[in-house]
Amino acid sequence: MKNQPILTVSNYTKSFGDVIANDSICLEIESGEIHCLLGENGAGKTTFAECVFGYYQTDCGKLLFNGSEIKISSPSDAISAGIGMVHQHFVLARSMNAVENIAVGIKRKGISPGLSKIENDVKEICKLYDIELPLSTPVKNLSVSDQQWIEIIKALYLGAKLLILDEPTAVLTPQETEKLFGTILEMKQKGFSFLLITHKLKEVMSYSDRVTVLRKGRVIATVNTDDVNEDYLAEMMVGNEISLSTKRKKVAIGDCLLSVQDISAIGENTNLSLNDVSFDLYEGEILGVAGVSGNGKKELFDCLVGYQKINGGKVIFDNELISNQNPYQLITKGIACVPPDRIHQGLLMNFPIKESLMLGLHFFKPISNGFRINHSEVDKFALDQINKYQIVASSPDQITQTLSGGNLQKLILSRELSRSPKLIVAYSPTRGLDVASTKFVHEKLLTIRETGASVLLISEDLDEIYTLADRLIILYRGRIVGNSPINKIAKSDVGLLMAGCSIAK
Amino acid sequence: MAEQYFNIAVLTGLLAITIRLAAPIILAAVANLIPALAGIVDMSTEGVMAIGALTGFLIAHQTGSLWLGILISGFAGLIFSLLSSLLIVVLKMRHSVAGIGENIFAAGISFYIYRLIIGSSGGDIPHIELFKRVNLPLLSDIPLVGVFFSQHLLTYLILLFVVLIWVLLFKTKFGLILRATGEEPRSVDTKGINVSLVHFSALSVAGLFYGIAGSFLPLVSSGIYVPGMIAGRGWIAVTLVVFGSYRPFPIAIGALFFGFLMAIQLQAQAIGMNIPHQLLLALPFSATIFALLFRKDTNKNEPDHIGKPYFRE
Amino acid sequence: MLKSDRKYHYKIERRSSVPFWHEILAAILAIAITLLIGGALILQSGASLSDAYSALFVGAFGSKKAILETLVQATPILFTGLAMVIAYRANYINLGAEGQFLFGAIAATWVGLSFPSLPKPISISLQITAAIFAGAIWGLIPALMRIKVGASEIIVTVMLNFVVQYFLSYLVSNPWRPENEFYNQTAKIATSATWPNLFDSRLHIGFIIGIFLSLTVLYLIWNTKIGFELRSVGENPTASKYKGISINKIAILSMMLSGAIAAIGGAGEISGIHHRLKPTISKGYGWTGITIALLGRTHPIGIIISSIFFGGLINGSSFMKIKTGVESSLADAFQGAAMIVVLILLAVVQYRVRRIEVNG
Repeated sequence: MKNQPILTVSNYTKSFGDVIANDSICLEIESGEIHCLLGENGAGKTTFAECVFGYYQTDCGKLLFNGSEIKISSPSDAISAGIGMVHQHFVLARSMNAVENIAVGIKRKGISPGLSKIENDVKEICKLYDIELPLSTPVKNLSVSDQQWIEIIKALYLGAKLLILDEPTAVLTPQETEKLFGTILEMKQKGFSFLLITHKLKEVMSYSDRVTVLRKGRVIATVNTDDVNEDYLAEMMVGNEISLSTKRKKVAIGDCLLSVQDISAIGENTNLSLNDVSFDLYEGEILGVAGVSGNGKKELFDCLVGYQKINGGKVIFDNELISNQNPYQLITKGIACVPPDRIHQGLLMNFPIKESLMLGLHFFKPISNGFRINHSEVDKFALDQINKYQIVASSPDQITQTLSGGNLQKLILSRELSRSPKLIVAYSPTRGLDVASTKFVHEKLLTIRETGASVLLISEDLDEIYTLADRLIILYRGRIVGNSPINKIAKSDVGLLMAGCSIAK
Repeated sequence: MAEQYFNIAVLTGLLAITIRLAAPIILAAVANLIPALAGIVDMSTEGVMAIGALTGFLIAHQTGSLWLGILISGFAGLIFSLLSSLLIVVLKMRHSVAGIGENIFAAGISFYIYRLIIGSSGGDIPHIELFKRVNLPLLSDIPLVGVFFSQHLLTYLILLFVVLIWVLLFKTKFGLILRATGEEPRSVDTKGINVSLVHFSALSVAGLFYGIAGSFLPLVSSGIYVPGMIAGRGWIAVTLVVFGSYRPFPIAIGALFFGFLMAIQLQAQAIGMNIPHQLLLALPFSATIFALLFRKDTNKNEPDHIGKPYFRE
Repeated sequence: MLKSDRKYHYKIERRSSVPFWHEILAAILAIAITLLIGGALILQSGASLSDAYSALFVGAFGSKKAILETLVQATPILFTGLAMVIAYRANYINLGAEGQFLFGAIAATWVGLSFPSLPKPISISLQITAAIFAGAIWGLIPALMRIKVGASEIIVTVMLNFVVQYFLSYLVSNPWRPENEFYNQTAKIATSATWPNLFDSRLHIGFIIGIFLSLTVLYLIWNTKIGFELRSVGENPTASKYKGISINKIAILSMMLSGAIAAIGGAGEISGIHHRLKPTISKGYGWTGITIALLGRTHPIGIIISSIFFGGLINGSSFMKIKTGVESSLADAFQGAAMIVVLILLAVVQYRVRRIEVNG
């Protein structure tokens, strides 16, 4: 006997300003099913999920839960119905512990929050699914994996029968990912249903029952996972015969350009975040830096671009000692930087594009002579870059905020590459970008090598590192635990090293 | 000369005045903690205290009832806080700018209303009967410490309010929601709780207490209303929230310290200090600046999301 | 599909960028609404609306003498408003213009009293220099405190205001008060130290200096490298730091400049108008400066226009009182109301109404 679907969505449309993020999306989830929502960055997956959860309000559309229509105008409607969500960026109060976070807003009699009862209930749930979770530690001291368990238990405690998970494995190690999916399968046996949002094809193939592919806000297809393969899904996701592989031209490797010797640095949490890190980078080479967040990538980036103080050791660039020089000096020496957060670390969002493009270049001719700014040169430069990089903007006076993610990244790249730097330090340069923009960035980084420049590519995305890099180093707890040419180390071994495990030689 | 300073009678007098001067600041500062823990930097305190002082004075003067004065001044503070809610919660304005604007608004209209009702300079400023002291039996006879038990009724009321606020913030489920909102509004929004409602409630309750704290000055301390009589106490209250690491007890201690500095100025003659009184008047403010220099870890308990307007999209 | 079949619903959403002329419109509308509120207050006090407002206008701009006095009232707030603007562009909220103004007044008085025999140009230059020093220090302190210990400059500047206010009151009642002086004020500064008057009126060269400074600040902010760095730090300090701008240097520079400008205003008020130091030289100019900085959209030209407008308001309201008996503190109520109304309108202008078609 076929049960009725637990969730039926018809014609969900959602727009932000002029942009239509979701266009008449129809989707059905069977009871007890793991249903994947697949699409590239910017396809509208998270928007859709937040609409189902009631965090965003759709422009129109209908939702049926277990057959009955419900109006979802806020998360409380979704929660009452039995929909729970684990968001891509966690929504926890960081100074409170797990129990307090779960207890917030739980309806009960009396004025006390009832923490001890909730603690006992949470312990039961943890026992049931074999989850080890420190319950009285403040969230800010917990690992991302632990935080995710809190989010899941939070949803269960509120009575969720359908769990929406938005990119849950983006920040997990391979081992943590395995544990997560193990638990999901266990919960599936107990009757829970899942809407799993992801762009990782391997996960879709391994764990889902059915998959809906989203592209540019529209549903392209809904298929049984057993009926398809990765290539088919990739084509659906991206839309045309885009070869996902980028052509690499062979480039001669030159002398040592950057030599980092035993550097240490203290990170934000005043634990020693970088410990005696040493590596060399050669001309024409792309060196990848892999590691889980919080293990030293940010500090390495900040140290090399002059944002953070180095506490010991030396950095030698082009045969010159440059440790602890400020960003201006490093720019003049030919080091460019592409920061991980383009909005908060790279651009002037409320200013016109031409002024975002000036940042870092305003020291030099022809934009300024050191005192006065030459406005006609500013305009000329901006127009040049807009054309060269095919940035979608109507004029250099357009406000930076109004550009899409891909175009913003093009702004940054054009600015950084305009002075023909010798070294580009790029951190997650394609985070949040759609496939076309990602390809553009990758191609630019590859062509730069042909002029003898080098790239230090720090990234969360192992696939990206494997696409672009010649060699890679792996950071764990602020130390280098691996250093190898790309073709001599398997991705799974890199995953192990990232998690602090050792590998068989 | 040392005997002069450490004379028990002098110290007792100093302590008594300290408590009286500190009381409105304690209430205003702890009240400021409510929106602060909910994530709002509320800088309207000085202005709302001025509104409370004027209202309390006028009502007490017109009706002869001090308690009615307190009640209405609290109500006036609550009404004024609706403006805070409009600017900060509805229009999502930068918190500091909203607070500063409200101060200027409060200063302007309170001066105008004062002039309108009391009349221009030249007329005599009416006085009102003050609250009387209430000496708790036996306890107030203890030397030195006894001053804590021979305070004005309104002072006891203020201390009661402080305890109530502490319980509300840290022992109730409402307090939990409020503190979670200040740390991460999305944590509360995604549970179906209306963040705007939390902010609105926090600002309203705080406004109520600011008004009462303001009325303390004419109704207990001085018996008259003078434009500008708040003289920076509201700003000190705002600073104390940070100093006190966002916890009521350290905030109260800090307020007592400021009360003490202000008491020194009043008692300078009695304790034989020969420093000019204007420089002593400046003491609490320069002390604040010096103290700010040595704040090391006062950001320990700062709510993560404080000061940032919250948007869903 | 029939037109009546189309369904719409309206949504209020935040704009990604506010068109410039919207903000100008908001400022003008704010003035209009405030005039309405002022009108209500006038009616409530029993006077005739047309009498009161015409008296206000005549008192402010109705004759050459009136205009000159309006500019006199505009001068100090031109300086404090400009001071606020420079700091605000670097994302520092300088509420200390009041104290920096007073400190500049103290510095100028010191020069005027201590060096009575200097020739006028030298005395004036010295006064301005002393004022710049005083204001710069009073601006440096909050900047350093924010940089080193993360203290809010809003709090520090407000505290410093009180400190200077009491210090000034001490000076004029004690060490700087002449033996035989009954009132709390200093002796008159030497005639050679006073600032020259213009057009045979109370208007002094301070006004010209203010206009000149406004235009200089305008040029600085939009046409120089340092101005770009200032705005960049105000907009996004993190990105500025990554791209080689020294955010500490910029913060210190902007706050020192801000304090110095306010202080020059104070010097002018002493040496151009009162010619001696007394406790009442500032009628809340620092706070009015905040209001006009907002009304003037933190733009030097806007500051000039708003300061003249408020100068007219203050000047005209005393004539209005004489003519119609309306309480002159209406100007204070007006100022307070203007502040709130302009804040609200500027916030409202951040949103737009969007019509969304509902299908199916």
